[in-house]
Amino acid sequence: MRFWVVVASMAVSSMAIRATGPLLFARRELPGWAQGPLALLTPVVLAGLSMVATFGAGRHLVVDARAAGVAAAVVCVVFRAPLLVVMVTAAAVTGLMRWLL
Amino acid sequence: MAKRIPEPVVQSYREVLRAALPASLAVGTFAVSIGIVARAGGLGWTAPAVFSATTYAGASQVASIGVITGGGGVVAAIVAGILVNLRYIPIGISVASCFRGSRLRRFVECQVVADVNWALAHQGGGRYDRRILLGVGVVMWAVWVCATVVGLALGGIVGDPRRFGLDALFPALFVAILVPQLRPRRNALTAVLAAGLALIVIPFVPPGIPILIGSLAVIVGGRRRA
Repeated sequence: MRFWVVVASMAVSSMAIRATGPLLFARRELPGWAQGPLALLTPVVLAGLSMVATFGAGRHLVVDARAAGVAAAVVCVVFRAPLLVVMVTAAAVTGLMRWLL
Repeated sequence: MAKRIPEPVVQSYREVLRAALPASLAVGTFAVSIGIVARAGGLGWTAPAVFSATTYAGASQVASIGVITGGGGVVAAIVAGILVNLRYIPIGISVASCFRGSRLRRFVECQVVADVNWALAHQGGGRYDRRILLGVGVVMWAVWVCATVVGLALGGIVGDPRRFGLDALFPALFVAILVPQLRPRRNALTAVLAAGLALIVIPFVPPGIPILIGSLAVIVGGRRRA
């Protein structure tokens, strides 16, 4: 029952958060000073997400098997491997490292 | 000299599906993992499935489920989930011009915006392809919900999904989408700054906030050249 309260609150808040930009800013041009920063938002958020997903464990910084898997993924990306290959490699290397360590 | 014909960025819905396929693999396995963890944590079947269908945000679902199954309170679980989701405010502003029509229609359409389709839709320089954003988003949502149910069914059978390295799929996908977006050089420098900021603050702030602090890098990187 407690979890249902979480689910309902999260549903309402996520929908509201997602709609903030599209409802408040859809009809107007963003001011010039905001356009430079917003153009950089995708690479910047992706950089943060990849770091947190690779080295984060709650509030701790850890270097574990994921780091090896993501490093292997970076090598695949640099050599222009297809995305599926990149991801299968990342999972395989991570699983292997975890099994070895 | 060949005449320059302005090409549509995405030719057809087949290309949208092609973009959605690898994304669905990462998103799907992530949702399977969430289902497994939720089932193992004794949260039942229905609530975790409804959670995926209505919140549709992996990191924040993980945060909320983590707090609840770790013995934390309802309020703490909600606050953790919301904090992780706050990045969708700037993300939503960045794609605001992709949505048209009535308020209701915009409200409904923007519910499929998630990290992966948002990043895939980025055409550089802050322009976004509406068809990729919505097309991949709808496919990903369906995969997300179905895969959560699969995970719930698998929970208790397979044990820890991390054994198969599945927790590396998401960062690998993020990196793969990020690398082509590191040009021009200003993008790369700003991304490095963001990565550094996010990493440094992980031990000091609640989950979700490091990404927001990292995104402050756009203020430095986005200044006009002097």
